Amino acid sequence: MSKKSIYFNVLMKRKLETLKEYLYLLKQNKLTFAALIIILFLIIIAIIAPIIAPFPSHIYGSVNPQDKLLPPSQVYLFGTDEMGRDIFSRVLYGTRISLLASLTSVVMGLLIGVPLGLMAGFYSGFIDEIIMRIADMFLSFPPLLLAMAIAAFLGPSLQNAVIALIISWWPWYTRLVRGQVVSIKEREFVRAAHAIGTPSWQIMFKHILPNCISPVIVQASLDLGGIILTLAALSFLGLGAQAPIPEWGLIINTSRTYFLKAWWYGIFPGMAIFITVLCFNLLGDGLREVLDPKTKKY
Amino acid sequence: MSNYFEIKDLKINFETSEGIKNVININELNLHKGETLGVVGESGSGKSVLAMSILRILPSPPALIERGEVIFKGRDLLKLRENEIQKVRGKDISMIFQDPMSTLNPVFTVGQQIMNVVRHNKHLSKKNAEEEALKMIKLVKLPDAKNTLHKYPNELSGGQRQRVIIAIALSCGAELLIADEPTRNLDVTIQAGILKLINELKKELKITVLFIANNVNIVFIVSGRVAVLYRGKIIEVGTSQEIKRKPIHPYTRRLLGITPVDRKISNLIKADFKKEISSDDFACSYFCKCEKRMEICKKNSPTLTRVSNTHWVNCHRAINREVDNESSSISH
Repeated sequence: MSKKSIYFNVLMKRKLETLKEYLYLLKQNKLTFAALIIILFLIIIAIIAPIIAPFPSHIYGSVNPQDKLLPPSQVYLFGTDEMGRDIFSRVLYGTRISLLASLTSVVMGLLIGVPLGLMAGFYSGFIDEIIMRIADMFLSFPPLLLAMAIAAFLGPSLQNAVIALIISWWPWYTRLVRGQVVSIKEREFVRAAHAIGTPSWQIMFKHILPNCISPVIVQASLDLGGIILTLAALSFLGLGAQAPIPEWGLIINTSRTYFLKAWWYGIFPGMAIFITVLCFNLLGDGLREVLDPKTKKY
Repeated sequence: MSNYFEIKDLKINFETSEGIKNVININELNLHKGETLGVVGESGSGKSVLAMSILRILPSPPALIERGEVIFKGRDLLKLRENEIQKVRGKDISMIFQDPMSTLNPVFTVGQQIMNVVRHNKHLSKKNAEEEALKMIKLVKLPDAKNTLHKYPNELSGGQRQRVIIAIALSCGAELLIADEPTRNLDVTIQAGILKLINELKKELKITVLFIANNVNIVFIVSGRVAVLYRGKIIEVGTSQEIKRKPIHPYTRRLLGITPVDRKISNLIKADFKKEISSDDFACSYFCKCEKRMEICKKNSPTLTRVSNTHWVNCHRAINREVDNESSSISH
């Protein structure tokens, strides 16, 4: 065996071991494991939604007055809405919209928030003051309220709602990361890296960032759920997705009128929101346990 | 004297809420190429501050370098620009820190950490860096080098970690190694191993070592010369033999444990303590605890005085040549 392949084998073996350990820890926590499975299932649904939807044409337009407001049956699993559209197809497709929107918001929030937090924590003083005071400005409003204000200002649409969510979410990551950086910066290994001649950008991204990333991952996975909820709230209030986009919050909003006549209209998208948010919260809690050794139970 | 490494008239102050405190006040300290100089002192005497000031990694808001020069190969490190001192760090002068438990980054494997440093400082390819890392691991005599390379710091013991840290510190070809209490938090047998390693590496790589410790006996094992630091001042410098056999300064003598504390003196110290007299009020910083203090110690601060060719003492007793008979009679 050549020299290189030995290194490679050892490295791969160790990486597999770490992966196995994480999986083991996840399995220990049955709820988290279930949540992870459901989320993977939801992601698959989101990807293949147009294929598996029984009535793809019902997702957006299509009016079938003869089938309007039918209760759940074998043809229409979740019943139909006031325009005769299959709610099951629409809810399935809504998974794609909600997951994509929340993933976009969280990733963009991280991309903006984390580097700013790193800079604020690392270069204390003037830069810290400026970044954190701007972040404080955003943090002083409840996130939903701020998102509403921004969405109303930009004009109601799904895109603008996502932009509003990004703007109101990044400061949370900045604050979280800054707090971590400030404490990790004082650790001995950072000083050692400095003493051996490591440039500051490398200290920042190679030594500090990987050490403060685990609470950020936990927060992000919790926020994936939180943002789905907020987005649904915005759509419900008419500031997010506009008809005929099959967004869960929007479906619930239109169902209000028919709530007494057609219970299935609002219940199923509501359940979809509930399950998704619950799973992300369970996953976030589980990740916290896996990533933070202090809460390990085994 | 060669001027390989020289500290001249260095004065470092710390800004505290109680005003400015002087932490380091060193008139002169030399290092010859290839030797090991041990610096001993109790905790708080400024050993680490001295070490950090050489590489300029002291956190600057509290610490202020008032004046002084740290000359390394003809260049004053204190006057270099930040990007120039950056090149000195690691490549010319390297440092080992006190606590092996926290000096390694917990999220990277040992190999990654060595490779990081090597790749950045020597501009090597990934494969070459890997070989270099393996070479360094073998150099510090860690068993099972290939597997150790892929271990995380938490999988290693304190002694093994300290060896890795030494490997990292030496991986960029530093000529001067500052070891800031490298054996702290290690148990005695491991300490001996690390000290042996430092001694061997010194011979093998022909490096100069500035060895800092608060244990005199450890310093005697590794160092050719010893400097005793007390309250930021060098109070005695000499070869290990001289310090060991003929210590002159009362503090050194007490450090070595060769003078039992005189009851009369300890009462005196207690009385001073009650009256809230601190050594800051007197010229000699050791005045309050000194068993052999004289009137002159109150007003005139002593200067580093030559006793023999290599032995210098910062005490009025040495100046007055009042070296008492005891010191010559004691032999270990």
